[in-house]
Amino acid sequence: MLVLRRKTGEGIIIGSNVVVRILSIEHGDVKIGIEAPKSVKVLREELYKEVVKTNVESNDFNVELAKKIFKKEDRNANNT
Amino acid sequence: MKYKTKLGILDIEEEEIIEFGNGLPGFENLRKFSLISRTDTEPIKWLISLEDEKIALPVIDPWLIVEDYSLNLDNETMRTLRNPKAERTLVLAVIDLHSENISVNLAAPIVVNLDKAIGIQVIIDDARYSVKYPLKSGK
Repeated sequence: MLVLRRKTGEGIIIGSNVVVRILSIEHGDVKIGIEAPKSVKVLREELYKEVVKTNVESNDFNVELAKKIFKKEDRNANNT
Repeated sequence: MKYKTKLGILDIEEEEIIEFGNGLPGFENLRKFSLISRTDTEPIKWLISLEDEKIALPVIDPWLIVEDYSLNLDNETMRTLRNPKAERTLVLAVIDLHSENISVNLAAPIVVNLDKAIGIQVIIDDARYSVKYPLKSGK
């Protein structure tokens, strides 16, 4: 891992077309500006990790729930 | 060809195999999946791995969950999917059935080009759509 020290307003260039710039730093929050071509996916790390976690949890399914969940809702709909 | 899958031994034809070039988040090394319908679990379908018999994800049409669901595929995703026609693009949401608190992942739909049998799980950074959209409250 490369570790760099940057000041507000300074940036780093990644490859030939990605620029990451520190816009402001306040009370531990860092605002970062990223200029990248549309083809470069930029995602908050925790969002990707949430998707990983949800996929892994969803793989641990209960087939019986799959059989009854929509049936149960149909029945509720008929009662109301 | 017969495959040993999480839902048992299934006979899957070559044209029923969907290729996920990047795998799925959490299962990045798995490429070959197939979409299985079972009458006893409709409208829930199953995206089953053909390479790891321990992996299968229950999926559902997201429009059954949220009527006005929408997603915008960026150019890169369209390229990865080799420019699917709208009417030949299948969108599915992973449904989490691991406990009674059932939720649907509306933030990371699975999109398939049915003509080319290519799939990708897209992550959309949209505050309207949660990774764990609770099924009950939405209905």
